[in-house]
Amino acid sequence: MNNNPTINVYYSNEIKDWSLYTSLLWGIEEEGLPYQCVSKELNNAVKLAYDAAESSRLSVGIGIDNTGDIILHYQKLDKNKPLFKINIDEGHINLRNLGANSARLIKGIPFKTFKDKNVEEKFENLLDIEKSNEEDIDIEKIVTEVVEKLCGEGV
Amino acid sequence: MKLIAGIDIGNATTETAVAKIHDERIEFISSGIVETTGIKGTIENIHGIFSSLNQALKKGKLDIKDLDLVRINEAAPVIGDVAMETITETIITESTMIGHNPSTPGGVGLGVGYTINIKNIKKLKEKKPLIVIIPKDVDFLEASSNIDKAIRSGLDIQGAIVQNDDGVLINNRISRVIPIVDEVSLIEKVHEGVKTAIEVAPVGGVVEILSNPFGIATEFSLDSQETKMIVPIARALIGNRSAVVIKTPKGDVKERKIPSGKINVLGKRRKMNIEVDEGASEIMNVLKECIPIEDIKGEPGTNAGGMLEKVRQVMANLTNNHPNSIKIQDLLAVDTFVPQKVKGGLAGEFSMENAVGIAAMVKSDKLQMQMIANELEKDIGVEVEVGGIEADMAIRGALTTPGSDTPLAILDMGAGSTDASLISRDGEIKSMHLAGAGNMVTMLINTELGLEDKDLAEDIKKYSLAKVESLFHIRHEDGSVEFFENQLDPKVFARVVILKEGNMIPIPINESLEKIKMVRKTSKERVFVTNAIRALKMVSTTGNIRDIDYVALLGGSALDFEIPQLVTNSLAQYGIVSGRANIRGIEGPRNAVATGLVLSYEEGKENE
Repeated sequence: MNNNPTINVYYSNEIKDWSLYTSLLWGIEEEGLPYQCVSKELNNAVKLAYDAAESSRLSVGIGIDNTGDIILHYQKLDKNKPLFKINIDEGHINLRNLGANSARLIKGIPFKTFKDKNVEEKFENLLDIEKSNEEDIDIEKIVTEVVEKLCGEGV
Repeated sequence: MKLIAGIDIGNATTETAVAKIHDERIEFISSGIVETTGIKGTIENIHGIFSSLNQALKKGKLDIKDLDLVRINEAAPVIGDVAMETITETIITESTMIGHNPSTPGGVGLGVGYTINIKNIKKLKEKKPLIVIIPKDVDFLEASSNIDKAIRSGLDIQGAIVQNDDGVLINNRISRVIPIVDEVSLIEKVHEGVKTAIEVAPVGGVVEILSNPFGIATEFSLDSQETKMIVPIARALIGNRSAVVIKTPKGDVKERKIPSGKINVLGKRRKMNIEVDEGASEIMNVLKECIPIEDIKGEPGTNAGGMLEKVRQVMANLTNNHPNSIKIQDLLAVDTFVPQKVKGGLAGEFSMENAVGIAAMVKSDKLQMQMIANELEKDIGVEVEVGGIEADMAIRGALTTPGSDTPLAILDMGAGSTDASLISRDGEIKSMHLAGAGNMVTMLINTELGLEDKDLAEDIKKYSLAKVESLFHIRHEDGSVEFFENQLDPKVFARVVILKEGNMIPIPINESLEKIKMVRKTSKERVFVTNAIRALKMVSTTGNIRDIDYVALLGGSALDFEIPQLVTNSLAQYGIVSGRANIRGIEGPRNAVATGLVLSYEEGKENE
């Protein structure tokens, strides 16, 4: 392990497919900061992140465990209060934003906001509904179905 | 001994002063201040009067029944309104430009070539300089390997326009350094096969060739007529780190003047017309020449007309008068600029368009103060009378400031209007109401920073700024640093924040603290310093501002953390001593009229 100033990324060696996480590194690269990735025999994202931050000369570390939790930590923070926490399920855009934010913490420029995947999906669904609105939706039928279902559940 | 209360209903606040009148002297007991309910001069004011009075009485441990008399002010029937007219507009047709500031463009330098979609690059046989378009459905790994292959096969790749935030990533994966502009949201509007120039400046630099009309002319071989047409493009690109200019043969860019109509100023001695798009200083010159002004009208059917008629209508409704009998008696025009989306821009570019901000002031014969007084008398069972003229009362109150004496001028800087009065050595009072005050400052801040949020603009006006420099410390606008024990909210990290009552409100725009501070300060100067000088000239007996010695600053805006300093500073140039009043030595610039109402009771009695 070299001693250059880098953002350190510690990941659990129980993670099988490391390539899923590359968006994270691209986020750092786009912001123009160096990073290094190290595999560790530990499976706790917070702890990994804090260790990474402590060992980083830039005081910034990212930890990933096999549940898909990704934590951005800063050495000057309380160990139990990391800066950001996301999960791999939240999509590669958020992964990339987390990477970018780790670099922005050092550069001192405002963070990118994480996109709520659920909200986006809902929005897309809404759009779909709007599209399908052209065909007449039988509201009466939907209402009857809902009422019947609720009655069936004894509400 | 008598116990009396003076109540001043202002545009923003209702203030009370309670005093005991002994035979020889007046003993002030307490004061109250609440927000005015409803518009000044309407029956809705009663609630505000009530709570203001109660607040004062409670402080003095008195009961409403102890009161012998309540005096309310003969409020100056003045309301102000503000509006904004944009007078230029930049429209791009056919040819276009991208002049935004992605935080991380890739590469560096200038590239000129013909656009081509990355997907079609393999089919290309012709050898000509190329600019590659990379839409967001193309992954940057794929894009960079294709560009690299093309370069190796001998194609002349000059630059790239990217939809995603991938500029640096692509740059790191190709063998030649080319300028790459990324985060171009409307990339589908960039057609293929058109001549395009891309410039990316090194970190910390700004584009130099594409922000220079002759630079663009050189790259596109333009003649002098065409060069004139692209000036707005060059202007819009000044200060950017990256830029793209796309030129189609028949395209052009226009900076269009929007006809916003004429203002007709009807003075007592002369009548003049002025086009709004001539700018603020011309409008103010015309106004000055027409003094004294009887009425100001806007050309019907134009923006100027609509705005002035709206003010008239509001005042007409307020006073139950016909709009024709309402006269606009003053106007303050201020040059300003509005960041507006460039029509035809591709990445949501803004161009600074010129605009004129206007505040108008309307006067009617009388507000319904007597009606309010009657209503109040019924409610509280104490005699209520309408006291003297507001400006006279204010000056009487102001004279309780330690260190003041006649002759004295006051500047009452409120939310809707700026009022000036002058009391001469022998007690003669002359006063003046002018359009433009706190509300106009808020409007200027709101538009010049492109906030579209009036409350935020109001907060910027009132509170100082700071920059959050780390998760644990902020730097105040004066340069001092403050540390915090607890981690700050990541939402405010690296942002400019407003320090409002112990909270940090992030300002969601990408401007430096210095810029925001400058807009705030110049907005205040353009309104209050201009009006201070204008108003004092008008009340000065000789018409010369230098003949005034002392000026006391009153009103809500005199409480501002920098307006009094700005005014004091500029008046000092005329040899005038000015400063924030301190009513009765304890109230600061507040409560002048209420205090004056109490004091004038005593004088009224003497006259009998």
